[in-house]
This record gives sequence, structure tokens and C-alpha cells, in this order.
Amino acid sequence: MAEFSFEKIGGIVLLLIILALWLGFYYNPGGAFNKVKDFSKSISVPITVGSETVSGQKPSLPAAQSQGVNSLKKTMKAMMNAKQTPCFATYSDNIFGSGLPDMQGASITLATGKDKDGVEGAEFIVNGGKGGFQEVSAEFIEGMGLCVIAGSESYVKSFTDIYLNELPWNEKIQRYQPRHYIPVNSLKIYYSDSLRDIDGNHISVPEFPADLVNDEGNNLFDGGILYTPDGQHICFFPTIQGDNKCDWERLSQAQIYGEEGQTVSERLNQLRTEDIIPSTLLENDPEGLDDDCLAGDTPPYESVNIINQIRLGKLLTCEAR
Amino acid sequence: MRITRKGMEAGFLVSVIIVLTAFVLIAGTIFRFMSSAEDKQAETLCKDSIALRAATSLNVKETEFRVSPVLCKTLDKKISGSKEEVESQIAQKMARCWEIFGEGSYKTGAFDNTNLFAGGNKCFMCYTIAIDESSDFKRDSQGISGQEFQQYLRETTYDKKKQTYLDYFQFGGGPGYVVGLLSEEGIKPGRGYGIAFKAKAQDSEGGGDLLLGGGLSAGIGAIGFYTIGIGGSLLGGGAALAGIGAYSLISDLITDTKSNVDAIMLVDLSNEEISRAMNEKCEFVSDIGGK
Repeated sequence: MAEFSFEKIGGIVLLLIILALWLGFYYNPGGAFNKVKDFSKSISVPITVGSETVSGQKPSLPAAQSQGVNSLKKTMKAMMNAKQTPCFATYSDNIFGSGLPDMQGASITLATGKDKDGVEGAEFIVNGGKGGFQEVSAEFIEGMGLCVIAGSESYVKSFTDIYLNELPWNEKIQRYQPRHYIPVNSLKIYYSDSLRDIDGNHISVPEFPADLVNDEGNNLFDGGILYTPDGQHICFFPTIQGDNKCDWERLSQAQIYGEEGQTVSERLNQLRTEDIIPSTLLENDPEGLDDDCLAGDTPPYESVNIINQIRLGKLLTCEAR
Repeated sequence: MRITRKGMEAGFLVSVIIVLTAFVLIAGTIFRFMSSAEDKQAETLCKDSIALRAATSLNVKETEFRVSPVLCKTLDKKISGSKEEVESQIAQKMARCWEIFGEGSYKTGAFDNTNLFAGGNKCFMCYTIAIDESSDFKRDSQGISGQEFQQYLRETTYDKKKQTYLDYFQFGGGPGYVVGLLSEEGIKPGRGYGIAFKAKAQDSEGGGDLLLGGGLSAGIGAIGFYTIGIGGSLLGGGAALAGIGAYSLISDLITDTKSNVDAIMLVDLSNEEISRAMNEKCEFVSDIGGK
């Protein structure tokens, strides 16, 4: 027969009492169990199974960008049918800055080449959509070439000699020289906020070195102006930031007081030598034209500003045949 | 009729020749079928593993966890034919690769195990393609340029999806884009090409702007086909940035942290700059074929 000690019995009874008390404490209607239960109900951790998916949409541009791009393309095509060249055209009503709206999230790539039939021309590709990476539209324009009024000091100088003066059109044309624009194979237009910390639409020329035109921020401050020397090449104007005054305004003053037969350059050099004008005035910048010579700022406009000259009829605008 | 011994020997020989010829023909057919079947099997396995990963992922609040492995291998293909046939075969392979990895429809990158640490430049080479010479398309023929192939993708309908290849890649499933990195020689016999899937770096909701930081990267979102010239310089005709080498451009394309969209890439592996940049900058997901 097993021996039972009072200690063992006492221990078991004590444990039973503790168990009874704990059970009573935990499971009675107002006890901890119900409180734990109510608390755990309030914790809601949503768990789902399966990856979320996204659906694609046909890429498009916001309305303002779309309108700007379409206007640019339409103007470029129209210039190729110009009755008389050389001539100028405006592709935008925004004559105070870039002709295109801010191209954030979008870009335009223009590239010469041949189509599948071997016809030469240029592709006009618009990108946008998700991440700006998607192709929105692409069109091959037969016969089109591309050019810029930038890239070489002498070429920019030639352009300014011909057009940035107060002479009437028929006298300007007498100064015409072929090497006043640079044909290029491709151009790209996009928005940048990191080039020299200047925000704005940017035009880049892949063939040029990285430090020529391509590192200038907000350098499509063109007043929506395009130029064609021959009805085939369409020239864009990369710009440099001006000082709110087209320096060629001062050139025209110098011209007036020059000696008879003296060329503009000779007169300029004379004025520089005599310290009448700063030595840096009217230096031709290969980065492009002073934006004050293109985009109209606020009236009254610079007299030789291109927008103003178009308004005054001193520059020929492209008319369709 | 009298059957001579010589006649019997000749007849036996003819029978043996016929049987051997038949055996070679049948074996060749079966072998080709099996090879093709193996490739199809590998494609199906890969596609199913990607789909399974997505289907079995757990989402706790906004965090996704995936545990199922990627079971994909790079397939080596040889193609030949006329220019149009080569274009067609390459486009179809690009479409198949796109389809296998979900058509850009997964919010979290296909190779990410969780979206907590999503990002990086994960790529997978679906196919390496060698183009053999044919009577219609020889080694010394003019290659298919990037612009030409881009136009092909724009104009040609992908029968399976009843939309053009470009539309399929860009919005047939989820959002996506196409990049081509070719040499001046274009697509032509004697060169090797790769078709790669590049996964998005972030989820699709994470912004949609071009990477604008840094002059080199500005405007990197020029889509389409880049032609890499001699010495690694970029040529025009769709190319976007000036004065930088191919290596820099490709590096930027691949490592662009705002590329929150999946991409399908066609690259010229015979070009050293392209090949080097892809190998160094893409984090290639391991190929089960190598295990």
C-alpha cells in the first residue's frame, strides 16, 4: 500500500486550489480570457495572397504637350512647302520663352535616315507615357533635313551678320552666305532641371561634344521660331541666356555710325579697340544665339529681335506654295 | 519464277539501305522535335514559375513576400532566312520573352522576393540568338538597322495578341518599353544577339518622370533603338545623347533608378561595349541551366 504523506496531499490540494482560482479568473465572464479575446479581435492584419497587377494604357501626352508637339510638327512640314526660301516660321504663340510647353515626362527625338523604300528624310519620334520611356508616336517626314544655328562661332556670326540688323529683307539677302547653319543628323528635346541648375526645355545635338550646346540648361528659349535656308533643312535655335537685351541692338547703333564701306566686323573691332564697346560685346557664341534676340521679352521689343522683325516684316515668313 | 542467290543478296542489300535511310530520317525528325520540345518545356517551366511566384506571394499590409523560385534558363537559338524572316523570328522571340515574364503586369519586379528592398538592375537573358547565313541574307549584306527594326515592331501585328509588337510591349499587359542596342552593322548573319527582360526598379506607382539628374542621364528616356558606332560612340538615328560612350549610355539605361517600368531589350552581344556594359551593369538572375 502506497504511503501518503500529508505534505504530498497538501501540495496537490494547493495546486488544485490555484488551478481553480486561475480558471475562475481567466474564464469567468468578466475574466481575462474574454478580455484577451476582445483585444485580439481588434487587431486586424490584412493578409492577401497573390501579386498585385497593373494594366497598361496606350501612351499619350498631356493635352498641352500634345498640342505643342503637333504644332511644331505641322510647322516643320509646312516650311518644307514654302513658296520662297530662306524664311522663318513660328510654331507657337509663346513668344516669351520656349515655343514648347514644359516637356516634363516627354521628349522629342528627330533623326535623319531613310525609310524602307530608301527615301531620305527625318523621323519625328515623341516619347512619353510611363516613365517617359514609351513611344507615343513616330512619323517619317520625307525630304526633311535638320540643322541648328549653333555649333560654330563662325556659323553663328554669319547668321547674325545676315539677319540681326535693321536692314530690310532685300538687303539682308544680299549678305546671304551659305555657311550660316549647321546640318545635323539628330536632335533631342526634353525637359531638364539639372543642367547648370537651370530648369527648362533643353535641346541637345548628339553629334556635338558634351560641352557644346548639350550642357546648356533651358537652351530652347527660342520664342517658337524655326528657320529654313532651303525648304529642306529645318533649323532650330539653341540659345544662351541673355541679359534681357539683344546685344545686336547695340550693333545696329554702331553700324549707323560706321564709316562708309566699313563692314560690321571692322566697325565692331574699331569700337572695341577704342574701348567704346566692351571687348566681349557681340562675340559670337557657338552655343547659340542670345535668347533676347529670339524670344520677345516684354514690349518694347529689341529692334533686331527676330520676333519683332517678323512682326515688322523685315524677315520673310514662310508661306505655302 | 526462279530466285537466284545473287538476286536474294541484292534484294537484302537494298532492304538494308532503305531501312537505314528511313531510320536516319526518322531519328533526325524525332531529335529535332525533342530539341524543340525541350525548349518549349523550358519556356513553359519558366513562365509557370514566374506565374506561381506571383500567385503564391503573400501581402501583409503593403509588403509583398515571394518564396517560390524563378526556374528559367537562357535558350540558345539559331535562326536564318530572309531579312523579313529574321525580323519576324526575333520579334516573336522578344514577344515570347515578354509574355514569359508577365508582360509588365506585376506591380513588384518579377525577380524581387519582396518589395521592401525592391530595386536594382535585375535582368534575365531569355535567348541568345545566332543568325546563320542564307541565300537571301548573307554576311556581307547590309544589316537590318535599328530604325528599320523599330519600324517593323511598329507596323507588324503580333498575331497572338492581335496588336502590333510595339503596342503589345508598351501596353498589351502592363506598361512596358523596348530598347535596342545595336552596332552600326545592325542585325545580320554572323553576329550574336541577346533578348533580355529587364525588370522594373520600383513598383509602378513610384512616379513617372524621366530621370533628370545629371547631365549624362538627362533625357535617358529616349526609347527605341540606339546605334553604337565605332569606338563606342553614339550615332544619330534615334540616339539621344552626345559625347558619351556606349558603355556610359547603356550603364545609365540599365541603372536608371526611376525606370519603374519593365523593359524588353534586344542587344548586340557581338559588340564589345554593349556586351561588357550588359554583363557589368545588369544583375543577371541565375539561370537554372547553369546549375
